[in-house]
Amino acid sequence: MTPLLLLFLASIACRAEIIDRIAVTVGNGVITESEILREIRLTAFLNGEPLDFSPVVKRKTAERLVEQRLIGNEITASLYALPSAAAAQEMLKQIKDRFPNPTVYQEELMRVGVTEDELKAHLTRQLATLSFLDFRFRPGIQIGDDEIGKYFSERLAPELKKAKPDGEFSLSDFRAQVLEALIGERMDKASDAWLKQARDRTRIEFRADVFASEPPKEASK
Amino acid sequence: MMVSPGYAVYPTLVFIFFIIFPAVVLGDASDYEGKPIARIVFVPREQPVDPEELHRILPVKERTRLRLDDVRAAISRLYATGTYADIKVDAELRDGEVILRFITENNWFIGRVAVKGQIKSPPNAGQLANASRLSLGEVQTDDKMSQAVNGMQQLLKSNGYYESHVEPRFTYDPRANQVRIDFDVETGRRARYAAPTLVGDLKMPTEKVVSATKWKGWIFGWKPVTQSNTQRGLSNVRKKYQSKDRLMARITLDKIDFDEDTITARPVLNIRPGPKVSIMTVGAKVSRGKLQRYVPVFEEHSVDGDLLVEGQRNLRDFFQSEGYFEAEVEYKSQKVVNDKEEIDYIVNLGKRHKLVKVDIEGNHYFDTQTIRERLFLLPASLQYRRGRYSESYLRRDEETIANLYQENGFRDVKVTSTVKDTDLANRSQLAVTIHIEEGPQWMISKLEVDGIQQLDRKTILAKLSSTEGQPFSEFDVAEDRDNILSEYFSQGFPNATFEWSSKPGPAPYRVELRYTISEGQRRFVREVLTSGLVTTRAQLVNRNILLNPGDPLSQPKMLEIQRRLYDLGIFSEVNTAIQNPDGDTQNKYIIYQMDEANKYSIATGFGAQIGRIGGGTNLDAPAGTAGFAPRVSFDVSRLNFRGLGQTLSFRSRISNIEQLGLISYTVPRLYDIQRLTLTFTILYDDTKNIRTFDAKKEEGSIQLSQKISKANTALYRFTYRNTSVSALVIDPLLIPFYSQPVRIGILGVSFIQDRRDDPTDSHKGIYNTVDFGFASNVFGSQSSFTRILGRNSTYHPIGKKLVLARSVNFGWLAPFTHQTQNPNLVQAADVYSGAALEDIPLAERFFSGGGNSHRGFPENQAGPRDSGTGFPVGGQALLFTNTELRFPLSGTTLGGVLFWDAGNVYSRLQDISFRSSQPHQTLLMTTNGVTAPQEVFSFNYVVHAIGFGIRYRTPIGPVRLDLAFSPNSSHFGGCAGYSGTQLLQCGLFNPDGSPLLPRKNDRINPFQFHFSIGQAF
Repeated sequence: MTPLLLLFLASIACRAEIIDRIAVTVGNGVITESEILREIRLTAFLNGEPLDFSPVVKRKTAERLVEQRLIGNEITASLYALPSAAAAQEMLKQIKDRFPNPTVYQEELMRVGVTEDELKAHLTRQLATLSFLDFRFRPGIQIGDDEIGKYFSERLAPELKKAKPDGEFSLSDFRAQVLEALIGERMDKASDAWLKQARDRTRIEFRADVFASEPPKEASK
Repeated sequence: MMVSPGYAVYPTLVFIFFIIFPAVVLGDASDYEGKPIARIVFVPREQPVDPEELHRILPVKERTRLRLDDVRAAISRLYATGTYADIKVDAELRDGEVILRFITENNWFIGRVAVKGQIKSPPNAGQLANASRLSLGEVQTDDKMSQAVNGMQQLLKSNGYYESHVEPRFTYDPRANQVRIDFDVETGRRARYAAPTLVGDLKMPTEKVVSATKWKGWIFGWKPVTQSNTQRGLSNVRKKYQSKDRLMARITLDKIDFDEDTITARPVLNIRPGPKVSIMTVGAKVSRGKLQRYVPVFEEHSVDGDLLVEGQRNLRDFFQSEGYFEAEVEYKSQKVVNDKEEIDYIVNLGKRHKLVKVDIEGNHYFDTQTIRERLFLLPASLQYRRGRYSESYLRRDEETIANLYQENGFRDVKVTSTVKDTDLANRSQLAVTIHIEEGPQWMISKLEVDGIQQLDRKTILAKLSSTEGQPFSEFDVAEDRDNILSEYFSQGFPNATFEWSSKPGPAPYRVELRYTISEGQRRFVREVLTSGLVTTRAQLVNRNILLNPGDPLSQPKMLEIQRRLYDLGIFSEVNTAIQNPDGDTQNKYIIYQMDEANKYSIATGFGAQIGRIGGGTNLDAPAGTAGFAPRVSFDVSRLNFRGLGQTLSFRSRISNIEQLGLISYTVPRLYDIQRLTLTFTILYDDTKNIRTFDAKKEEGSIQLSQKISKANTALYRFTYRNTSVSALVIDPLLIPFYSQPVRIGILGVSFIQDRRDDPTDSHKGIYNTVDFGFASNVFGSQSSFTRILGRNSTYHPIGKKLVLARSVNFGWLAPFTHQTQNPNLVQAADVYSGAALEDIPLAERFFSGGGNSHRGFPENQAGPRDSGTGFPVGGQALLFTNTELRFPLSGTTLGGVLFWDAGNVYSRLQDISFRSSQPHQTLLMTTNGVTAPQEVFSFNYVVHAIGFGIRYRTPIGPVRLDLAFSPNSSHFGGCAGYSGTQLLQCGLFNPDGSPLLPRKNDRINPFQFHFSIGQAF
């Protein structure tokens, strides 16, 4: 009985193709391998880079998706407002504008193997993430004048001097820019700390077999 | 459940197979996009999710076109059920159609966790199982297993087992995806302590610190390492330092070095003694004991600002409770100088006050009493001699009143207060007036409830407090929320949520309310899984499982089942859990894991009885003397007999006034009826608690107990006993029937109604009992009579603190036949005193009096007495009333009672009399042909006793001391002499008319004391 069964299974296995599988588990949720590949394609499209499905890139992409998933979970649980469809449409328009004409844009989409709908959904997720970070971490950040002054004198002014040795630079001209930079740094720090905590309290498991080998080129399309 | 290896490994084999022969790794999935799905196959075929549910939740369906997004969603959805560890999907094109295969690997859920092996406690198997931290019903993972083994090994190490070995064994039950985990534990030898290494500036000799650990015994040297010994050692060292005023001493265990050659463990203690700390009060005297109680520095072994402030607050509260309502306390801490830190609590007591009055005004909606009983402020009373007052108490009371009004719709209520201080000859008297401005009452003009879809709307609405026309308060809304959610939870909606909103109504002070309920997905029971039954029969457990497959998953019912299983009294532990609680599945397994209790329960006890129980058979003291009876008891029970929850017990009690042995067999839940309990009993009792005789009783009985309702119980029983009387101190020739063994067969029915709030210390309620017995020769009885004994007790709270308790006891023995009395033997005096009754055997009569019936009598000393010797002979009727006023004396632990007991045991029912003076007369007695006058007493009158008692509250009931004074305690005549050969001479005369033994008129001591546990009634 058992050999027959094994033979049967072997015949099935040889003809079938795996079309998707779990790549990472995040709490009760999963990120499938196809999601990682799609993310790689979308990133390649947005950055105008060649497709790279190497294990290293897959892992890196998976890490990013894990962070997005943790943020997504928080957005759902805490009922944060989602970005409007118009905002995503506007962002899509900006991306389209980067291309000389719609045909090139469509060819590029085809090259990486994604649809416009997938791109739009990706942009919506990105906007949601940015909006969450802004809502969550910006209000708590307080920047003092001394910090602004220190940043200007120790970090920005030397850079400016280097770029334009004869120029005269005053803090008042760059105050808003410095403030934004400092807020950005603080937000990064705060969001990193939050993500670390979220990772610590969530069971996250990367499936070794997904990240061990590079899929054949024809399969990765 | 053990499974055959072939079956158990089958799913794994398939999975491994697909790994060995993988399909092309993530093939060109887009080739399949949009193709029709011919078939969906699961590998393995047997899936952990219920097939119907699996079909329902899967986004991909046969005969539809394949969308890769749906496949992705299907993987997510399946994984969200929590039942899968891994999921892969492959596809195969056949004739232009797709065959879709879900290749799954199941999760296993933790079932029973047991620890086996030769384990010498501590730790015991239960502690080790707990240390594994494996929770019933959760997913078993490798991480959890290694954590479990580590946890157990840590526990073993901390108990001296450094060479232990812990190995988990798994038994899989594929039907329920459950895994039973048995840990095989080999502990090895337990290490003994070695001299600890002490690190730090000790400030005292090393040997003193080592000695303080008490890790080395006088006889057996270094003690075995246990967690508790280690902790106790550290604590002892800390105490040692504290005794030297080093309150901040920190003793920590850095590590324990194990030496495997000598099997010893050397603790390394890090000692930071800190400075000597002196805490004193300035401005008021406080004893060291009180300082230690109120300043938490002593208890927390640390000196920091928070603790000192807490001490400051506690001291202030203490002084305020003593009448220094304006007391202020501050602390001042000085820097450490010469290894010494001084902390002074500076107390400014202010004037001492007395709160004499608390007035409330402006209240219309609530009466003053309703408000007053919620207040913390108390005017001076016996219990609080200076009243209870402080600024914070006053604020708290204002808040309490405001809350009370707000809860009833008075949203704009304002509560303020004024305090008037009057000086009267250096005595300050405070009067507080609380002013209430109620404002308008807000009412609900409309209530809308949305979202009730799957439950009965009417049932839910009937539970609501906030309905149209009712006052509006957030308190009621919160109550409604709890009621609604609790109804949903009990009906299988664990994720139900409740939200509410309000808006102004059409008229002023009217509100429109809206409740929005989100029911969430309903969960159902897939199956109830039980484990842990070794000797217990499954049918016994199954009878108590109230949930069946398909029932809504009700948390309250789960807990009810757990309670019922505990109530069987045969399990030491009953754990319940939902398998895979977080998994998104509709049908859930419910798990009950039971640990059977020890089959044998053994209890030994030592105690003593103190009271007027002494005197032996000395004829000098018919009313007894103060005595002491040490007592030993030994009980053993075989629980869960035959695996059916039945109990076989042996109980014994031996003291110098009683020897008792009892064997009983209890069958609870007779014929599966929860309320019926059948008990068979065999009893041997040799008792001397009645001073007139020793009664030896051999008895067999069968009793059926029926719990009619929570308060009402009926008992039906048949008793057959042989009672013999010995050491009789009254004339056996006078009443021959007394001294012979008597067989009694009696059929009885009892009814008990118990509506008391607390049976050991009742404050309100009612307690009624009626016991009816029928003894007849039909049942093999040598004496035929009926017996009625009834009690009615009620408890009435008076205000918040006082309780008026009263009780009436009535008993009547009605003989069917009357014994013919021998006119040659019976004296008129015996008839007058009630001693000459022969209708009921002596041991069956009513003997009463004592701490639980009438406190004016010593134990069993009420009622008729033998005219010759003066010893009690019992009666055929009894009537007692008891009245008590119970009140607090100091705090909540010490209380007092004033009581009045009245009544007596009477010769016959028709002899019950309410006169208060004892009848007596002088009668001529003729013995041996000699006639002489003798004063004889009748006992058919009401004996009164008043008294005072104190009660000290303990967890097993109040410890009681009662002192009674009976102004009309019974007089009786007796002989001065001894039992034995002289016994027959009592009451006889010399030829010259003088008594053979000197006569003595005696009286029951008017002062009686009773010491016991529990209230008198």
